[in-house]
Amino acid sequence: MTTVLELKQITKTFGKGAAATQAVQPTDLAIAPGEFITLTGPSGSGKTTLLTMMGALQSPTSGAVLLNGQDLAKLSEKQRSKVRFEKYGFILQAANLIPYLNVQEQFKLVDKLSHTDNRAYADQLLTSLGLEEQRDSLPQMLSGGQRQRVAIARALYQQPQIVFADEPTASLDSKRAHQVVQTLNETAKAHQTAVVMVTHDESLFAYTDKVYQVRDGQVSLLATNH
Amino acid sequence: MYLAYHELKSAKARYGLVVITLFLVAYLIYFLTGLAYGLANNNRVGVDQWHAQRVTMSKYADHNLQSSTIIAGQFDRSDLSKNVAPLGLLAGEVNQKSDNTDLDTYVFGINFSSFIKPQLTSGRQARHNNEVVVDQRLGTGQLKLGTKIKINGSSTYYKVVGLTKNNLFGTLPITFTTLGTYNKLRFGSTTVKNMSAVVYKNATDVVKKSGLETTTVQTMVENIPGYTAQNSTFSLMIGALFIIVLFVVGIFMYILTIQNVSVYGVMRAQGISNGTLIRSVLAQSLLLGIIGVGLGLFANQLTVLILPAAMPYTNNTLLVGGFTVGLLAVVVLGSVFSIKRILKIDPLDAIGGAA
Ligand SMILES: Nc1ncnc2c1ncn2[C@@H]1O[C@H](COP(=O)(O)OP(=O)(O)OP(=O)(O)O)[C@@H](O)[C@H]1O
Ligand SMILES: [Mg+2]
Repeated sequence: MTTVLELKQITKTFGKGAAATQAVQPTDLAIAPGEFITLTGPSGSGKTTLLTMMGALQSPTSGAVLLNGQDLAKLSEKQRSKVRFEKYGFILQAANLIPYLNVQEQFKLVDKLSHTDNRAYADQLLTSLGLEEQRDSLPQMLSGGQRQRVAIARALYQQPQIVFADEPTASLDSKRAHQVVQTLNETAKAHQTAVVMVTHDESLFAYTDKVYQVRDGQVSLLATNH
Repeated sequence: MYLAYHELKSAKARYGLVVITLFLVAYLIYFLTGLAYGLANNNRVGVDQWHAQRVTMSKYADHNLQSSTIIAGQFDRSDLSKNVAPLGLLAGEVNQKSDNTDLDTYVFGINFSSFIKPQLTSGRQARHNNEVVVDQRLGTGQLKLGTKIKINGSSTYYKVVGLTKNNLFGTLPITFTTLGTYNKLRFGSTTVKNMSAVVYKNATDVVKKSGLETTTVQTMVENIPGYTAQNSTFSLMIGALFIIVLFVVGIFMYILTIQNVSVYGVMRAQGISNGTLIRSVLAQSLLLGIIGVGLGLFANQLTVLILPAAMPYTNNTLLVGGFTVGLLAVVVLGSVFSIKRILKIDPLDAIGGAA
């Protein structure tokens, strides 16, 4: 099996000495291209910590995160930033969008920064997510569901290898939540983009390939679909 | 630039306030500079026109031209020449024959064939003791060729035979008389051979005499009563305004940055480079600066058109240009605090909000 992202015995400890908390126990995990995995578990169990280590937003205390075989810890901060820009997409619970750019401009900014012009692809993504009417709207004019769909489009725009989504549906009602995750799944599958999603909502597990349970920093496979 | 522009556009009111503040302070700086330079200029322009290198005055005068007297025996007449020019200075009041309002002036008693003779705009140089050349501004243009005037309540009338412009000293228009007339006005007789100073075109011409002291024209100007005090007052005010600009921009940009911390967090999480964010903030403040300072410059130009000619307001291109560059530099400097803050933002904070 080919893997895009691999965790090798990673741990994370916050604080020192007696006050130290081990948020993540030694964990191994491999994610294949286009694979959609879910992390679930009680609050404080270490899901966000895991996600951010995979997402090159913080480094593990020990062990290694390998992206295409490259140890992220061996990269400079600047290179990690570049990895996040080019290889990763992020969908957060809220505030994924730049408030003073309208929907179209969110993509134009990426084009400007990467010196490309993929306007057609942005239009295609927006259309497939049912957002063609909202192109000129500022984020504050959109509903929560529309905003999350724009965030999905934004996260997928640079055809990343992996999209990280931390409770992307937390602010949505159940119907919208299903729509958003379904769209995320379909769009990601269409582009062979892997997805790591954190959610508490068990009804969303059905859209994903594997479900991992996180408990006190321990990761275990809960279910495999298909 | 793209980010900067859109952010400015999205919060027009807030950034508008910074622009207005910048505009007002910039305008104040230009206005004060114009006044300061104008005043300084009006103090010295009559002397600057000499393009002289040295001045000799009596030692006790302590470089103050008004207090200096060189009596006949102290300096040989034979040492005077075209480029070594005698000068008599006297504060005076001029009255027209037809009008008894007093016009303030400085009398410059000179040798009309020496190098410090005024450049004329009309008429001719004085040839006799009863002829004078006056600056056009004396009596705001009332004095014409042929006008008869009294100086310091003299019984004799003096005839204006030449007009000159930009010949001001100590902010007053100059009345040029012969040395004889100067001696008559100051010492009672045209036969007295005193003077206030000797002006040298070239430093190499200086003649040393005991009891006399030679300095540069600059030193003499700096010792015009009030000149240096005035200049340092203005410099202090302008300097203070620069510091105000630094703080206004610094604090304002900082507040706006803090309000945007979560946005910056998201952008950093998405891998938008620090360079991009820094450039955006710099572009933002530079844009604000250019608009605000630009408006200030524009208002300054309007002021020149509107102000009455009598106001000592002169724009010096070098000073205005220098302060413009200085203001923009200070505006950019003000955003440094914001940049430092942005670099401290942890992209994790953006994620943390979701936990
Ligand atoms: N920056 C930090 N400093 C100290 N402790 C931290 C930090 N981040 C997380 N922790 C701790 O690590 C543990 C795991 O936190 P994490 O945010 O990963 O949990 P989570 O599973 O995402 O919880 P939730 O479902 O509430 O979002 C918690 O005990 C938390 O207090
Ligand atoms: Mg969390």
